[in-house]
Amino acid sequence: MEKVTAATLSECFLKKKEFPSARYIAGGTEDLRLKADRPSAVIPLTGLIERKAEVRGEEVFLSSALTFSDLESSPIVPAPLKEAAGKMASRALKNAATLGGNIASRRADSYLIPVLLAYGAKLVVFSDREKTCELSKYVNRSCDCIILGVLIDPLVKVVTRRESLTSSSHAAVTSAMSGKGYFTAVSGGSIYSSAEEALSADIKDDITGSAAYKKYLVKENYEILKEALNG
Amino acid sequence: MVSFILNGKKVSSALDPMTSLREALVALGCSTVRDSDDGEGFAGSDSVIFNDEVRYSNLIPLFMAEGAEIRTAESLIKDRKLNDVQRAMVAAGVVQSAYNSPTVALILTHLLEHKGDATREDVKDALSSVFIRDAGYEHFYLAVKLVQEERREGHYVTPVSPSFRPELDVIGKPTGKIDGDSLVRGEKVFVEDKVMPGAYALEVLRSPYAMAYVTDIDTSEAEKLEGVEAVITWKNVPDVYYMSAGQGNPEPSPHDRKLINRKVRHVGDRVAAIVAKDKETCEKAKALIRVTYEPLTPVLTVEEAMAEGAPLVHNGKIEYVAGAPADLDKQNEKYDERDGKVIYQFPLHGDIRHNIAAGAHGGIGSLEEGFREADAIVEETYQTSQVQCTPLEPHVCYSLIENGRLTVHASTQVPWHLRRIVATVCGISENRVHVIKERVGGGYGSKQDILVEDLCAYCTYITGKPIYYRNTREEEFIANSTRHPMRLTVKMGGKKDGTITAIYMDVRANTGPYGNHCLTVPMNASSKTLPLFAVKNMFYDLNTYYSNIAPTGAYQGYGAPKGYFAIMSALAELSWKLGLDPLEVAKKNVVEEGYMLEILKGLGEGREGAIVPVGSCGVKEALEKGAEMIEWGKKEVSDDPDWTIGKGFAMIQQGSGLPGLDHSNCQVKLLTDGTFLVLSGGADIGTGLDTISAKIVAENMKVSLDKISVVSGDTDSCLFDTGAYASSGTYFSASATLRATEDLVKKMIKEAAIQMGECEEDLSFRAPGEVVSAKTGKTLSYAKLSHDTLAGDGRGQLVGTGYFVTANSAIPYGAHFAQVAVNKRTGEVKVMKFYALQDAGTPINPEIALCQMYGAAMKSIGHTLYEGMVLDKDGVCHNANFTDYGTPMIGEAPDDFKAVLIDVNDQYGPYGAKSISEIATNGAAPAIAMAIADATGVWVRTWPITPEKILKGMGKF
Repeated sequence: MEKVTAATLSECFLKKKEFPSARYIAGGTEDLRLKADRPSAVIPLTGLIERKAEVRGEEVFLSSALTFSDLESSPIVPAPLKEAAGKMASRALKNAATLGGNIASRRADSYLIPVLLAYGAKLVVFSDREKTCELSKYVNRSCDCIILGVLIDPLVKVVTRRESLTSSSHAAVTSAMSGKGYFTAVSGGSIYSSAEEALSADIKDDITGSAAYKKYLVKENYEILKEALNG
Repeated sequence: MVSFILNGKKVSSALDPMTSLREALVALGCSTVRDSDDGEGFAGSDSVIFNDEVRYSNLIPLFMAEGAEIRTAESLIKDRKLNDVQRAMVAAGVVQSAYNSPTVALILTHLLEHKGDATREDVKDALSSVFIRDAGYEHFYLAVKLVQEERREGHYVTPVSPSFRPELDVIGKPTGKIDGDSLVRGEKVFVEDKVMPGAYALEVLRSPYAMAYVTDIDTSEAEKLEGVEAVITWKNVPDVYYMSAGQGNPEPSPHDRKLINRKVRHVGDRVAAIVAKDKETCEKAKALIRVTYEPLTPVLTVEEAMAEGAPLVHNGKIEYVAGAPADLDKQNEKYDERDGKVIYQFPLHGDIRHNIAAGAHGGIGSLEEGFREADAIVEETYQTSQVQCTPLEPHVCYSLIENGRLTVHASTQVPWHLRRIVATVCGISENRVHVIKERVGGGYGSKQDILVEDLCAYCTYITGKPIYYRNTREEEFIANSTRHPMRLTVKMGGKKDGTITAIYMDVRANTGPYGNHCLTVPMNASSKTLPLFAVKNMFYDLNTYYSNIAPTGAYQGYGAPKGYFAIMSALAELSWKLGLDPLEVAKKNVVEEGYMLEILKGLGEGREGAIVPVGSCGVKEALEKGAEMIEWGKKEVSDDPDWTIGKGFAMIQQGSGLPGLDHSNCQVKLLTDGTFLVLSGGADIGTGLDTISAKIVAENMKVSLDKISVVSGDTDSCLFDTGAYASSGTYFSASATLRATEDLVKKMIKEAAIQMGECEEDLSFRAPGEVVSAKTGKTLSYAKLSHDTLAGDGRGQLVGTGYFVTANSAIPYGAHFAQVAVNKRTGEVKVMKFYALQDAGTPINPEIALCQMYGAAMKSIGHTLYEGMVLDKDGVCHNANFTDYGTPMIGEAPDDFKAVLIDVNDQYGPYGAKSISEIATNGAAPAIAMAIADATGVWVRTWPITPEKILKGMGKF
C-alpha cells in the first residue's frame, strides 16, 4: 500500500483525481483491517481536518475527524448518536474509527449511517470548495469529495437499534427512526430509506443470517422503534 | 524517518512509512507488542497507549506516529520490578497462557492512571479491546479491585480464592504462578522470541479445492528464483505415512497422510512448501508454481459422507500393523494409488470404502427391556458445529540444526510425541531430535496435534537452514484443528417416578480430511457422559466419517461438550414429557461414590475397559448448591414484556488423564546451594502445571517457592511424559513430581543421616530448608548437605526420580447452571447468570483453577451461542477471522458469573487433586439450551443457538 502525501485538502482532492483508486484515510481502521479490499494507495487526511464538535445556530456540526470515542464523550452529541457509536464494542477501535470513515465506507453494517439519516444529516464536503449535500444522496452514489463533517438538528427525536450476534460481530441489521422516516442498513444488502425498500430488496444470505431472518428483523425493528418513538 | 516518543524516550524509525506501527515497535525492541490477528483489530495483543489512548498498533501506519507519545508494556517495569497492576494480575490468577497479558496490564494501568476508582463498567470498557480465551474475564475485575485495595489499605483485602487443606503450607493455597512475573512483564519466552536473525521463511501453497488430485505441478520457475532453498511437493516428500495427533504410540488414529499428498482433501490442504530467505521471496516463488488439479466432488457433512455411493475421501490401500481383519484383501480389491494409504496401528472398526475412519460400539444391559419399562421415551437428534480453538498465539515453529541434531522450538502440548513424529517424518532416530517446549500462548487442544512442526522440521532437515514458520490467522481456521462436528441421536426412556430406564446414543462424528483423533475425541461423547448415569441399560454406537471440511482434532473437552449437549437436553426433554423437574430426574439418576461403573467395560477406546467404582464425587453437592444459588424452581419475570427468562442446568464429569495409557516422569535435583531444580516431563501450557510441581517440592522440602525452579517439556533435559491432554497434568505429571520428590526426600534423609551421624528415622525437614534431628536437635542446611555430597569424597548429586502410571481414575464432577433472557421479538439471548460448580478434589492452585473454569465456561458459552465455521458447498470457509467467526468477548460474559470449587478430597490424585481444565467446557451448551427452552418453549438442537434459530422455532418467520 502506497502513501500519497498532500499538505492541504485541495491537494488531497487533486491527488484523488490523479490516483482514482487511492482512498482517503483518517483513522484508517477499515482500510487497514480489510485485507481483501485494501486500496493500493491511501491519501492521509491526518491533521488536515480539525477534530471538533460545535453548535452552529440550531444545528450541531460534527467534524468527520471525530472518533467514535469522541462522539460518546462529547456533551453536544445527542444521545441516540452516542448510543449508535457506543455499539462499536472495542474501545481501541472506537479510539481510531472516525465519523467520516464510517460514512465514507458506506458499509451495509454501518454503525452510524442509519441514525444520521434519521437526523436528516447534511454532509459538509470539500471538493474544489466547501459545500453541503444531503447524506441520503451521498449514500447512494460515489463521490470523490472529502467529508469535512455532518450537520444535524440535535432536537430531532431519534431511536436506534443494532442487531448483531456478538458485541464485536458485524451487524445483521442496523436501524434508526425519526419523524423523517425509518432507515436501515442490512448486511448482504445495502442502506435503505424505508422498510418497504429494504423488504423488497434483493438481500443475500450471509454469515450474519439468512435473507428471511434479516427481513424479519427489518420489519420487527420498524415496530420496535415506532413504539419507542411514540413513547 | 518517523520520530516519536517511545516509553519516555525519543526514537526514530527508518522503516517504510506504511509499515504498521507494531512492526516498527518490534524492530525497536518492544517484544510485548504481539500479533494475534494479522492486523484485524480484534485480539488486542498489539495494543499500545498512543497519545494517551488505547490503540491497536497493527492498525496505525508508521507515518501516523510522527510526533506521537507511545507507551508499550515495557514502560511498566521500573528497576526490574513489576508494577502493582501486573502483581495483582498474577495474584488473581489471570496470567495463564499470557500471550497478551503484558498488553492487558498496560491497558489496566492506563485505566487506573485516569480513573483510580474505576468501576466494573470502566474495567469492562477497558477490556473491550482484548480477546481473552484462557482465563475468562471475571478475575480481571478482581485484579483491579486488588490494586485499588492495595493503594488504599496497603495490602489486598479480597481473597483471590478460597484456600484448601489448612494442614498444608502451599498446596491448596493461592500463591501465584512461579512464571507469572516473567509472563506478565513480557519476557521473551515464546517461540517467536527465540528466532535468531537469518532464519529462513517457509510458506505453504494451499489447495483451493475441497477435494482434488494434483495431476501436475511445475515448480521449476519457483526453484530458479534467487533466495529459494527448496520447494517440496507430493513428488519429493518422504514416502512416510503418519498422523498428526499427539497420542501414545501405537496411536488410535490411522496413519493416513504424508507430508504433502497427491490428493488434496480440504480447502487449504498442503500442495507445496517453499523455503526461502524471507517471506517476500517465498510469496514470489509461491506465485510461480503451476498446479493442475482434477477437482472432485467433496463431501462436507456426515450425511453426505454416509450416503450410498458417496465420493470417497480416502480410497487408497488399507494396511494394518496388527489385527488386520480377515477380509482385508477383499477391502483392497479396488483402490486408487493416487489416494495413498491408510495404515491402522490396530483395528478401529474403520471402513474407508464407506468414509468411516473409526467406529466403536458397546453398552450394558438391554435397551429393549429398558425402553419397554419406560412410561415415556424421547428420541431427538442434536447437531454441533465446527468450532475453532482460536489460540492467541497461532501455530508456530522454529527449527534449526545444532550440533548435527534437529532442534525444534515448539509451542506444543506434546513434546515427546512431537519428537517421535518429526523423527519418523525425517527418517531419523529420536536421539537426533531435540524438542524444546517454549511457553505456549494458548493451546486448548489444538497444540496436541502436530500441525506445523512436521513440515518445518523436515524442511530444516533437508536444507540445513534454520526456519521460522507461523500460521496466519486464516490458516489457523482452515488448516489447523477444530472440534469434530457431530450429529448425536439420543433415545432416552423414563418412568413416571423419574427413573431413567434406558439410554441409547448414536454418535456420528465428522473428522474431516484426516483421521487424527477420529476415535478418541468422538468417543468422549459417550465415555464421559454415560458413566455419570446410574442406569442399567445404556448403549452407544459411534461412527466417525471422513469428509472434506477443514481439519479437526483435539479441543478442550474432546467429544464431551457435544455428548453433554445431547444427553442433558434429552434428559430435560424427557423430564418435561413426564411432567417432572429435570433437576430431580438428574439427582435421581446420577452416580455416587462407590457405584460400580459397569458401563466402563464397553468404553475402552478399542479395547475392553476396566470396571471400577465411582471414587470421590461432588456432583450431588454441586447440583444442590447450584440450585440454591440460582433459585431453581423460582420463575423469573422480566420487567420488559419483550423479554422472557428461563433457567437450565447440566450435571457433568470428565476424566483426569488416561489411566492405563498415560505415563509421566520427573526428576528433582538438589542443587549445590540447597535450592531445587525440577525437570518435569509435563507440558505446562499456561495452566500452572510447573507451579504445581514447584508447590509439591516446596511442601515436602519445607522451602519457599523461590527456592525452586522448573524446567519442563524439554526432551533432552527432562524425562518422558505423554503430554498435556485429556486433563492429565495434575493427576499424572504432578504425581510423577510427587514420586520424584518423595524419592529425593528419602535420598536426602539417607545422606543427611550419614553426614549428621544420626538415624534416618530421627530426621525430618523444616523451614526454611534444613534437616533437623528430633533426637539431638542438630540441624543441617540443604546447602551443606548438597555441598558435602558433591565433595571429592562425596556420594554423588542427590536427584530424585519418579514416574507415574495408574489404572485408577480420579474423576472430576460438577454442575453448571444458567439463567438467560431471550428477546421474544428479536431472538437475542443474554446470559444473565452462569454458575459453574465443580469438584477438583484438592485444587492445588485454587486461583488458577477458578480462572480455568471461567475460561472454559466462556469457550463453551461461545460454542453454544456464537461460534461455528461457515463453509459453502465447495468447502470454502467464509468466516476465517475472529470478527466473522464470533468468538465471545467481555461483552458476552454473563452479568453474574461465578465459579465455585466444591471441596472433595480424592483418594488417588496428588494431595487429593483432580483435573479442572476440560470439565468446565461441558456444561454451558446443555444448560443454556435448557434455559432457552424454559424461556421460550423452543428447543434448539443445533450449535450455535442463534437468534435466527430461536425465532424460527417460535414460528416468527
